[in-house]
Amino acid sequence: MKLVCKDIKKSFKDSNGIMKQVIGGISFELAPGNLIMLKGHSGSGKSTLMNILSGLMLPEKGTVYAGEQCITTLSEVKRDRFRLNNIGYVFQTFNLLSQLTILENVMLPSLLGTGLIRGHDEVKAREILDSLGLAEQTWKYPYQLSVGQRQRVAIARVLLLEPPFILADEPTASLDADSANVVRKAILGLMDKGAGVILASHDQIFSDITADQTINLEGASHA
Amino acid sequence: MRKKLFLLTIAWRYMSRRRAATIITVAAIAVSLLFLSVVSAINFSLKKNAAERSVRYPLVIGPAESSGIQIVMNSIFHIDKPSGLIPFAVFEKVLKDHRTLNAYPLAIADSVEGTPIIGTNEEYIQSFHVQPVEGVVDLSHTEDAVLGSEAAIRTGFHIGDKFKGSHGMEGDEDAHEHAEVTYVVRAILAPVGGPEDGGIYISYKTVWAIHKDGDHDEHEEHGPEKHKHDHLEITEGKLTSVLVKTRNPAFSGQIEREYSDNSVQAVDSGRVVRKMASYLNKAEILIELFNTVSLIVVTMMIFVTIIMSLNERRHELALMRSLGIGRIKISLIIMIEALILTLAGAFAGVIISHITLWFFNPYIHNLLGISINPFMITGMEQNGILITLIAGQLLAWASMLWVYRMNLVEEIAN
Repeated sequence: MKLVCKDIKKSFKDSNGIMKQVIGGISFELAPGNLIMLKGHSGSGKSTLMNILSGLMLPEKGTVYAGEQCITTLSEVKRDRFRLNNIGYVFQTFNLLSQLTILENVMLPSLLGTGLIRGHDEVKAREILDSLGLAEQTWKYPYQLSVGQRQRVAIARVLLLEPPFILADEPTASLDADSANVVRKAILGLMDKGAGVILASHDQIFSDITADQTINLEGASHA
Repeated sequence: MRKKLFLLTIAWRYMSRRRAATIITVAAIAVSLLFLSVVSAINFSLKKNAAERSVRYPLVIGPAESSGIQIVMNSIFHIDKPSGLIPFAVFEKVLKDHRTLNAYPLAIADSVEGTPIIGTNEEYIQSFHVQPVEGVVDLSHTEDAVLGSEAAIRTGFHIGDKFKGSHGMEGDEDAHEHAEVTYVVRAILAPVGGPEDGGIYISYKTVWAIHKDGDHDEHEEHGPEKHKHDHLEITEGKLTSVLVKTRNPAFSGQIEREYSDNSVQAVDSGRVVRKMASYLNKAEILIELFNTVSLIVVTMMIFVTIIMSLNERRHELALMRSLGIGRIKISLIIMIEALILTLAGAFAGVIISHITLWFFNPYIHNLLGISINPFMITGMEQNGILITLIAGQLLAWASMLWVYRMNLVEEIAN
């Protein structure tokens, strides 16, 4: 399944109430197992683009297709379901639920999602956590883990779902070298399994990877 | 991990995090229901008891100088003390009257440990329609005493126990012990569920025997002025009142008119009870108003608790949405929280209120002359529980609108 973006445009009002275009007509295709690198300074629209691709936000203009399905015309409920089944989001800030244990955080989408419950989810979740060096942390809470461990938990959540598309927004920022390597390895592993990855990162740890396409968002915004 | 239980787990974890607010809200619901339950149980029992007694003893003949309410309260509910005497001949006359089904003499002037000692006959005890749980009802001897169930609990007396009565009722400053007679407990009655449970029954002839001198030698040293007691001296041939059951309700009016003169008056107990009920109804409006206000306050507390809880985890709720978890699932978590809050509050309220009723039942009996079934759930209490649960769910629905309007991207960015 391909992710196809056509002429995506998005504007926001700035603090003075003036509309500012953040993304101005971007088009690309993400094929299975491919990597697209997003380049651009802070505020250039990388996160906005990812939000549009995941269905969290709608563009003013343009379309996003996942296979035959047009995401941008779906209802919010259907976009939620699309995101749950197709998108693995890795945030810079991990975004774990503070009141849930590590195992519960990893299993959250499959436990609360629709049509995703699988008999071996818990066994698989434990195996993934074990492979990421978190076997002893399953019943701990996020605040009891280091920053690096928390990002590994976020990666484990994505690995459990094995979605066709991964959106990684500065996934290794503020991580130690070991944790960053674990995250890098996990993303590459998902690509090997056929996931298409869109990565926004300033980290040199990804510099040796050749992207299938690089989209430079610098200058894509217009006042 | 089960999918449905997981929603409950999440709801419980968030409530646990806000432990203080959760406990305060649950306590507020419980206190509100406690008040509602206690007041409605007392109100219900008061009306039920009053209505039943006015049917059982439709007429009361008492002294002319007393008020109708005082005669009924004292004779039927054993509250307060009698303030005058009537001739025993009135009892004999009304008993022989062809319109009378039965009549019961009452001579109430003494007490023991605050429990009234009622001089009467065995027929009056039989009119309660209960059997003794222990012993045999027999008032043929001077020392014989039969205890109501509540009176037995309050005094702690058992079959065969001996005790002396005090001249005067509870609260009389100059009440003093009768040395003349030592009573022996012959029987303890099964609960009637009314004022009868709180009495100790002896023969009216015993009352005459105790008071035969009209006063007490043991108090001579106080001087003559001290003999102007608050309490009555029920000498031979006197009673405090007579309860009358007529063969036909139509006879009540006739007897009421015929037996009222300068010294005695017959009182229609139903009329007095209806008058009391009308006072109670006025009080009931105030009580219901108070209950409504307290339910509104509690509802607001539930709302504030839910809103505060939602506000504290805007980011986490947005995160759940970003992971693809639908708004309905998130709303379900909020509804479960509201349900746990209200159910816990209602459950605590019901338990505490019924324990309170059970604990204070003897005091309520003393004060109002009624026994309350502490485990009875009144209609008002049921409504209160229902309103609280529905309000909790409605507020959860209202809170869910907030989730529906949540700006995901903004929340995640924060």
